[in-house]
Amino acid sequence: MPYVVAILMATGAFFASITFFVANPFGELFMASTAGPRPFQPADGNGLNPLLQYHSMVIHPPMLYLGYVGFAVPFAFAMAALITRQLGDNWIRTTRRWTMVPWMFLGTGILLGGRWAYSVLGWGGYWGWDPVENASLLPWLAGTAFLHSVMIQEKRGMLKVWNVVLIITTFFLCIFGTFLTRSGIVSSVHAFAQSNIGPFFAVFLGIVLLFSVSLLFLRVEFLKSENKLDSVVSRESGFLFNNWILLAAVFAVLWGTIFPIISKAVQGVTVTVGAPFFNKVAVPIGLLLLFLTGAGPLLAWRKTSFQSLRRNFTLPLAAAVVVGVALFLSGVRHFYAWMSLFLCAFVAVSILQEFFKGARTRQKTGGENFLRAIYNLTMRNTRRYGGYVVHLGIVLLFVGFAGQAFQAKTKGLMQDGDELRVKNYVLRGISVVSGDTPNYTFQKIRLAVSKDGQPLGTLEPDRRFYKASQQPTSHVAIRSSLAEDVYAVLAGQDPDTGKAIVEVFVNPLVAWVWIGGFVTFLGTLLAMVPSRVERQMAEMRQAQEAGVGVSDAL
Amino acid sequence: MRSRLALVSLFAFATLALGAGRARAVDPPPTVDRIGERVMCLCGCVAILNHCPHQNCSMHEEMRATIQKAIAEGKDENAILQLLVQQYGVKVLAAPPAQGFDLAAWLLPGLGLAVGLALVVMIVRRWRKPGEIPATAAGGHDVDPKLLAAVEEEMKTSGMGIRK
Amino acid sequence: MNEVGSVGLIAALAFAAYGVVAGAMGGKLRSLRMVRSAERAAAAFFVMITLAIVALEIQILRDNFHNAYVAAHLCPTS
Repeated sequence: MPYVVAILMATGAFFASITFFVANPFGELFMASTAGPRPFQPADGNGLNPLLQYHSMVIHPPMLYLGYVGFAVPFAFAMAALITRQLGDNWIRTTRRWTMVPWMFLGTGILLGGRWAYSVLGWGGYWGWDPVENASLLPWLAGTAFLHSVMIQEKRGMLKVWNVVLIITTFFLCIFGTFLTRSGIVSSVHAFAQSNIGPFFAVFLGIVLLFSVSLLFLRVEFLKSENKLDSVVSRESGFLFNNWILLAAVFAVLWGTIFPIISKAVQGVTVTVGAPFFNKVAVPIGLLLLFLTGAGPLLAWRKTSFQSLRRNFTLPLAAAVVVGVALFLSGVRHFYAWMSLFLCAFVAVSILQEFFKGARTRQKTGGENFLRAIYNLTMRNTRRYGGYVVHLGIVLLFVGFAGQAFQAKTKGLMQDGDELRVKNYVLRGISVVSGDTPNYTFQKIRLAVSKDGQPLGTLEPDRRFYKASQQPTSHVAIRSSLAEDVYAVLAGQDPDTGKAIVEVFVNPLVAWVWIGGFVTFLGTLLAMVPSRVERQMAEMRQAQEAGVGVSDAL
Repeated sequence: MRSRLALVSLFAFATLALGAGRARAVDPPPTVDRIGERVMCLCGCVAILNHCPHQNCSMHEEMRATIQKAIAEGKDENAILQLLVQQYGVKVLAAPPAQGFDLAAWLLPGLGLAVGLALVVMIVRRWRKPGEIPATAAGGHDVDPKLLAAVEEEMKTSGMGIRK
Repeated sequence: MNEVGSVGLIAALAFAAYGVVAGAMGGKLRSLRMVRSAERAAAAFFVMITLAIVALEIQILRDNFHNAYVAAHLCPTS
């Protein structure tokens, strides 16, 4: 513990000094006058960037910060364990818990950010591969890799060095992400958070890396693997492949994010590495990962026989083939989207199969009814079944991602009575209203939406002009359903005709992104609940310690 | 051996299937919206041209007009992208061109994936022990064997993993 | 209020610096007193940072535009 405190406080000292000496929020405004500077109090402030005046923005940054900050704790525990050479099971168990909490917050923060982008930026999507978005994704991916490979260490005493490396990487990427956001070293939509703290962060990053890596080298002999691999087809190698894909994703995203800087340094030209690059590179990696999400848990620890492989894979694969054929017949020709949904079916069925198998065993042996069996099963091993729920959340996320391939959009000039068609929707202008509030002036158009002739209510996208910052923004109107969102933006006013410029998107399956995020969140919570077995073991340990204490006293 | 084959073929299937996504049909004729997804808006918003959040953004309109004109002249998508690069510089492209030094941007992620795979395969090979699974428990533990046995028994009955 | 915030930050910094030294020494010398002291420093660090945040929050809520941060990011109606 003492070194944990020391490491955490070192991080704290760095951030406190940055806040005090470099970017002090308590700076005061003064006006020069003949009698020296006089305190100055302007009548009004600049105003918060209007794009940020949105409800999920209140919670998105704190979530991300909890994630970023929280990863300092596993790092501190890892370093302390290295310093004290106490590299047994204890620190890894504590660290795993402390990784899940920030991992959950970071993931939730990222999704809330996506939700904000979707509802405010008005381009019909939620993820733009902006450098700062990537910066939040990187530690999340590295943390995910750690959460998986830590299991190999707990169960088999392997991969000890690798796990320390992953913790260092995750923490490093957190600081690096903050550095990217606040230094403005790469141009980003998040430029509103820039200040001159870049060099300090660069030095801190250097110190973190030097300290942790040299410590690791000094202690590497204490991290010898306790076991060997029994078979290539085993859960262990499944986790290795999982780590391979996740780290490849980290590398690809990191590389794309910093490539503009490298290009500037090497060839003197700043290039842009934007969404088209990341979509090409990340989608195949993402699909491989999705495949492993389903396949990995079907492999047994140590060794999986061909029989069990066939038993476990048959049903999920059959279900996936059925879904795949059905999708193809119904006209899905976008390859990545098809592949994604195919794999989603595979993974979802493989997870449900695990629940079903476990519950049936309990039914047979314990005579419990099905629901009761599912509940007991889950509570008995919350880590395992919570993990499955997280995987199910990831599947739903991918269902949402796949929907993006089928986005439809249109743009038109509208006033009362004009109609706009997109897919099988018709939007008819009802009225255009203008108004004034103390914060902004606005223009709003009411649109009557109908699908295949059935009225579905109205959408009222508006456009605001914020007085303090003199900036216009759009407020998107969304009609969401599980199948698709109708997403209307009032993009402006046509100078020639005076009509409103309205953009309408139909975004299939987007709702599943938010649902998937929520399921992931719930699954993580579930995995953090101490399982019955864990509680019993903790009681045993306590009883033993108490016994030792008594015998010492005697 | 059969199980290994099965896993390898599953992987091969997944990888091949992913690779097949590359081979697409002929590009449809260029539109402003299609090209607008591939270039950046240079008004300072750091967004894809189609996604610029600023209304009545002058740069946005100018660039779209340029693209519209080039389409009207019958240029194809690549020629229009070339034209935009000439006019605004290479930073207008939303992804670096796959040539010269910028090729590195495209190659390294794939290379990283390949090197990672090679590493995993290497590790698996080195870790693999020849022959049968020995029945001994994890060595080097300074634990009372009786206690260890009790804990393992508990874990076995509770369905948690066995450390062996 | 700006003074309170600044004091909070500098005190937090001092506690953090002390926490690093005390924690490391406590570990090295195996001194329980040192370790307890470091842990208390960590708690004090937390309290001081919270104080600074509260100081800033009060100014934001009071629209105190004499503070440069508030002036840059706020307007009275938002």
